[in-house]
Amino acid sequence: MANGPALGWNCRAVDARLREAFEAFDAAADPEWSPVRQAAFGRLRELGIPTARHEAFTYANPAPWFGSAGAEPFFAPAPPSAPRDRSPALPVCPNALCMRFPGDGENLLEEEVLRAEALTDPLELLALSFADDFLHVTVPSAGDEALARIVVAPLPAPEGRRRTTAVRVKIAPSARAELDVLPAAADGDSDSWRHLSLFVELGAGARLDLVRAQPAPRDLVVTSSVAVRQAEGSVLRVREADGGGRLAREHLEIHLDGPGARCDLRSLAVLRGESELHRHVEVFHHAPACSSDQLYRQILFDSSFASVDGTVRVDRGADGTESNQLVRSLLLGENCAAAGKPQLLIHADDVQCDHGATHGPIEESELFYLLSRGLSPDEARLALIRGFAQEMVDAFPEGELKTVAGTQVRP
Amino acid sequence: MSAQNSGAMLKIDDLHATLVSDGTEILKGLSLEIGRGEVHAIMGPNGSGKSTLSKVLAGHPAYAVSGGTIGFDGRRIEELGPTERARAGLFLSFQDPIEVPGLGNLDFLRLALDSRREAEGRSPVSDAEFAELVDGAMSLLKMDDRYRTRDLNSGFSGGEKKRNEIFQMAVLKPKLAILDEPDSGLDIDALRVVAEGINSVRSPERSILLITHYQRLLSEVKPDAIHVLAHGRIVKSGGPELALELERSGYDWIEGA
Ligand SMILES: Nc1ncnc2c1ncn2[C@@H]1O[C@H](COP(=O)(O)OP(=O)(O)O)[C@@H](O)[C@H]1O
Ligand SMILES: [Mg+2]
Repeated sequence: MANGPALGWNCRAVDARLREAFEAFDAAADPEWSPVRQAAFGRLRELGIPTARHEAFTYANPAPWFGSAGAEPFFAPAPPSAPRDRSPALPVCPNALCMRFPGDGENLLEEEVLRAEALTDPLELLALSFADDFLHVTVPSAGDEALARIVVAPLPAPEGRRRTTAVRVKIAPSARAELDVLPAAADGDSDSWRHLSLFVELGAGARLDLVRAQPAPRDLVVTSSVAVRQAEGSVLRVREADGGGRLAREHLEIHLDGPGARCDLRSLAVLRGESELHRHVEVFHHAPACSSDQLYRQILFDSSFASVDGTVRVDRGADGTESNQLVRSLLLGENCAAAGKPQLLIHADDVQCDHGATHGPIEESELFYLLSRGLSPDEARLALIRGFAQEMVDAFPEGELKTVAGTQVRP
Repeated sequence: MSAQNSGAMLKIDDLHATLVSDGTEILKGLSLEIGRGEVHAIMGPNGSGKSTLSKVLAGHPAYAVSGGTIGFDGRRIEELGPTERARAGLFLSFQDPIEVPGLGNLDFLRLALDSRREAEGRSPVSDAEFAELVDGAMSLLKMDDRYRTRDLNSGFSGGEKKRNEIFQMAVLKPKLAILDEPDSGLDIDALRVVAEGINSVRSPERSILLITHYQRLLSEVKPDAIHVLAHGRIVKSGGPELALELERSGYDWIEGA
């Protein structure tokens, strides 16, 4: 971890001052720190974060928040009353997270308290120390096809505040797991902000389904920063359905570290009203013979906005890379808009990549076909919209979240 | 002078149609009458306007009727939308049916059937009745069970799409079926199956307008009349023997083609 790219967040841009300040900050999730955090959030609010228009594509990456000219690092030195001899262990919050496993769960999963000293990256530690709810899960090799099921059920974000859930998952070689992130809800009617920080390590030959569905609660800001590292031959499937909320920002970073690692992503967004969803996705092909396959479908009503800022980087020597990234948007609202910025940065020779983005209204030929069979214009439109979404929903594994995803498209 | 009294299923009179996009006229004074229970075939060179005619009849919004009339089953329909025309019993089998991944083939068919029934004041089809209709049509068209679970034309070969169009027709039992080259891309066996499907809906109450390039289909589905469409109008009409003549000599000998 100490060498190699920073986990979770790319912190190259971070000001050296921040690191210094941070090193002075001995992280412990102690109530004593609460005023510091409050001050930090106060500072963030002063900076106008989160707002819909702020730095459209990098919002979920905190680096720019700190590096901006003139903004002092918001850390205060440790409060004088903070006991210096306390264990830097961060607490597990069992209320915020629940875990379910089939059969004899005890054998399948160890839960451990993460020790602050195990972390070397200051930004990561910063994120964790600000987490309200925190969990570290290890799924050991199970030998057979046993599936460990980890369910993250975030507590409601308190009114007018942010709630951060930090989850680290380590999946041992050849183990299988499904990680479900249940929808977050706002507590009360006014603004609140829910942040998920997720870091996953997949051992050689391990498999993980990462499943999340978030319908749009009004006035909820949802951000997430998800980073996955995949060892040789591991398989990651990401299934997500997003309703946007007031503002959603998602940062996803996948590192294909070992040869033959594969990831595929099926993502559905159904946005209404003034909802905004920004996704910033980076896939790194570090090793040969890996594949990444990303499909995004966005259904935009009213004045909603969605963007996918997706980059695929293929390192020198990562030959035999296969990579697809396709973004399709149905523009249904008068003032809706979509943006897609598929980018390819290729430094290897033997690479197969297919990238593209199409955004447009319902095809006239499709609509006419359905009308010519007697469907009314409303029925036809709905059938086409549902069809467009259904392929993404079908890709979900059976379960609660599939149902949530399936009910996103209503008349 | 309503079509009502003529007893015709379809009565097209001096029809002019233009592209909405740039005003190009494609149908230039086309007249055609199909009686109840009759099957008429339309042949004609590529680009003569055959598919345009089929889409104009079904109410495609890319075309505007700039003159003439279309009478269907005793009713003027130029002003109606495609939904209303379909609900009145008009069906178009497309030359290039579109694919709709995510929309179940049978789910869609059921929606279509129910909207038609609703227009006729009938209740939605029951599960049992629908299953019976589907089973009947599927065995008639020798379709395998995969059609039940697949999405509408999604990933279908050209031939499978054509068969699926005829399957829909067999279930919907329209008063007037307009079939735009249902035989293109079919091998001999598939052609025979499709022909059987078409013949199965023939009845004294139903009519068919069959667009084709080939005599082969017409020897299986015997038409009552054949018309040659060229440059946006009917330039020649005749009996079944006209198809053989066209197969032998092409279109060049026909005046106006
Ligand atoms: N939607 C359209 N846009 C542009 N041109 C069209 C359109 N529909 C038909 N045409 C033109 O009208 C003519 C007739 O086309 P079509 O009806 O498809 O012929 P056919 O089916 O007899 O081969 C062609 O020149 C074709 O290019
Ligand atoms: Mg044609």
